[in-house]
Amino acid sequence: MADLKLSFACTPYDRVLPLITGEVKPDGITLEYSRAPGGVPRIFYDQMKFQRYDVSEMSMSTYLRMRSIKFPYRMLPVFHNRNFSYTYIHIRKNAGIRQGHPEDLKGKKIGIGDYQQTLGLWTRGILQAEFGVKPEDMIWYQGRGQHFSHTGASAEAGLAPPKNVDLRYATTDFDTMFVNGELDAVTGLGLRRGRAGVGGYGTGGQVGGSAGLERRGRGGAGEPDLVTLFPDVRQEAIRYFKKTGVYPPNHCSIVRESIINEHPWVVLSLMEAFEESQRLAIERLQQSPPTLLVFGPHYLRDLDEVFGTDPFPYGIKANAKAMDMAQTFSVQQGLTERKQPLDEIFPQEAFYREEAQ
Amino acid sequence: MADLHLSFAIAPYDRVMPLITGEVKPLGITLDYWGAQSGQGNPFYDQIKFQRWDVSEMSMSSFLRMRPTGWGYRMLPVFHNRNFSWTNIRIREGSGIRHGHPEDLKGKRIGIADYQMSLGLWTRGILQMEFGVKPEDMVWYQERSEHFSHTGASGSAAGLGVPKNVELHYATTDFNTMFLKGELDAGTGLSMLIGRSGEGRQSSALSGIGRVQADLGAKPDLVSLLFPDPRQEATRFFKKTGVYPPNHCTAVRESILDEHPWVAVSLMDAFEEAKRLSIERLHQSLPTLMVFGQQYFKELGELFGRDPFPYGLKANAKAFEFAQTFSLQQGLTERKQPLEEIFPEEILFREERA
Repeated sequence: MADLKLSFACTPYDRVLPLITGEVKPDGITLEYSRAPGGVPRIFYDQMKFQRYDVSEMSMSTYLRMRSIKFPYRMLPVFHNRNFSYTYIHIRKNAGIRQGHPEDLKGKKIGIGDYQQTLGLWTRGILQAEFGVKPEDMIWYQGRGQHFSHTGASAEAGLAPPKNVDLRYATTDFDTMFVNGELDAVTGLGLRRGRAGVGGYGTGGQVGGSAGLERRGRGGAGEPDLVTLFPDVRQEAIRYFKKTGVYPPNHCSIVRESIINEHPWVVLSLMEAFEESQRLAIERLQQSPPTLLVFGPHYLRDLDEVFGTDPFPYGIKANAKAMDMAQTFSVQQGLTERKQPLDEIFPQEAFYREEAQ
Repeated sequence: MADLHLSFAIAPYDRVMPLITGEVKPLGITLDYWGAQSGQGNPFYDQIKFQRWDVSEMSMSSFLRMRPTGWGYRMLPVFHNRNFSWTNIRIREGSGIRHGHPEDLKGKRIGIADYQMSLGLWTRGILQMEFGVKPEDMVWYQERSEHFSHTGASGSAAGLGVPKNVELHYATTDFNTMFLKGELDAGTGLSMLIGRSGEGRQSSALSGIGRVQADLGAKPDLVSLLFPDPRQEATRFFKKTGVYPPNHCTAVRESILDEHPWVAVSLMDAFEEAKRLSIERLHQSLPTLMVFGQQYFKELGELFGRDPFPYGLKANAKAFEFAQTFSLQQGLTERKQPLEEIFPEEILFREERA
């Protein structure tokens, strides 16, 4: 029988690359990979509004919101873009926020790319759970447009932004706002300075990742004087992981429900392929860590001591706690009305697969 | 004019991959990539004995030994496999060597894969320079065999003997077995042998010319690292000397350089472009499996700058001088060789202004 052809959009992560290059092939399926030049922000936007791809990476937070209004996709427990994103909050010097004092964020103006994004879900949830800072204690500025954003696309689908927070739409880029003293803090995915100073927020340094949805920096505003909220971001991340066992996943994988209904085996075939692809990637990183990452073998050893050999476990059971936390935070933040039972989210075959585990 | 076709053997390093895949192409040259399926051992052996490839990765130490014997290659200052290899010396429990005390190596039996290998050159050189432990203070066991080894090939191909100041034995079994039997006190090494990084690297490095290692799984504490914090020791040395020791260089067949001297510059440009691309890509998408990669990168940037693998003569002058000094000191070569005997003229010209 001929292969099922499924369209596929996903960031070319190391763990997924063998699946993208075709080195690993799901049994009975040919994945037609879309390069998706707009990066994940566009993939997510297109999925929310147009259900464009059969299989794709997807925002966890957006998925939870959209699924509650019958978004026709089911989630595969294959998670991407794990981050301790709250540790990447950056603060403006002289904003009255002391380094190492998250509680000082209360009453402050904080920027975020897209209010409902999973980075925000986890950042807000962990600020509240760990430091007692609630979303409504801050004033939120969204960098992306009111409509051309995930939050905007959800609103068009009938999901209004939460009413308990003061959410404003930035009219200029965050750098300019910082320089003008109009913003005190910003959420982020990465460090804003040094060699790896990419992916902080907006388009400033987010090379290749976010074309499309992000606001262009106007330039000329000057470099704002920012530091990380946590003086040692790695130490804070390790503290949190040791306490909770959770390395927060921002993205999941989704599969079009009509395909699963017609070909339920697709779930197993895809899971196995994602797992084999990850296994290969782990093996290769062990055998030849990038030489440019001097001390790579040392770092891998340090990481093993914290995370074990697989920091990106796939599967429902391995991610049960993270999934429950995401749902708890989502309800707490008014993004969803209720926690959804897992059998409304994952495909049946994904449960059966783990029965004996 | 049609491209010059040059055979090319090198490990598929991140910095070199675009050159291997053909994404970066040296001007006027088509590289016919051979691969490195059996690890790095065999290509060097084949180069020493058979001058098999036009362009290849090459052991620095073997190059320095072979070059004065009329060996037909010149060196490109494109260095690979940099390592703080002495920080990975392993010691056996019960050997009488205390952790953090390199001076305890004196009088002990130490294993090395291949005596003349650059890993050994640097390990011995730095043990002597930093801790006063000379090669002749230890008894050496070579794991590779007397003939099927780089040291052996240098003997058969060019009549180069083993240095006479050291006691060198040929192991009759693998080092792990010797550790288990208490016949060896320490071992040099590239890999950490612990955690995610250890096993993989070891298995790939030992295929081909090496020996298969006995399993130490039943005695996990038998062998451990000499330096309790190898990264700290490596950082100390780098801050002091500015040298991140290169084990391998790049060799180009001299007859090709004589006929087409432009090849040297064309290859240099291509190696540099391949590296530039790799650095850019790594910054844009760090392996997600390397959790905290961004922070590691930031720390590394503070220590090494943006490029820990500088190419070129001037950028590597001190490392090269160290390597020649150690080689002479260890009786591997008879004299330091002037740079113009080693590098192609066009490479020296290329850096005149740099």
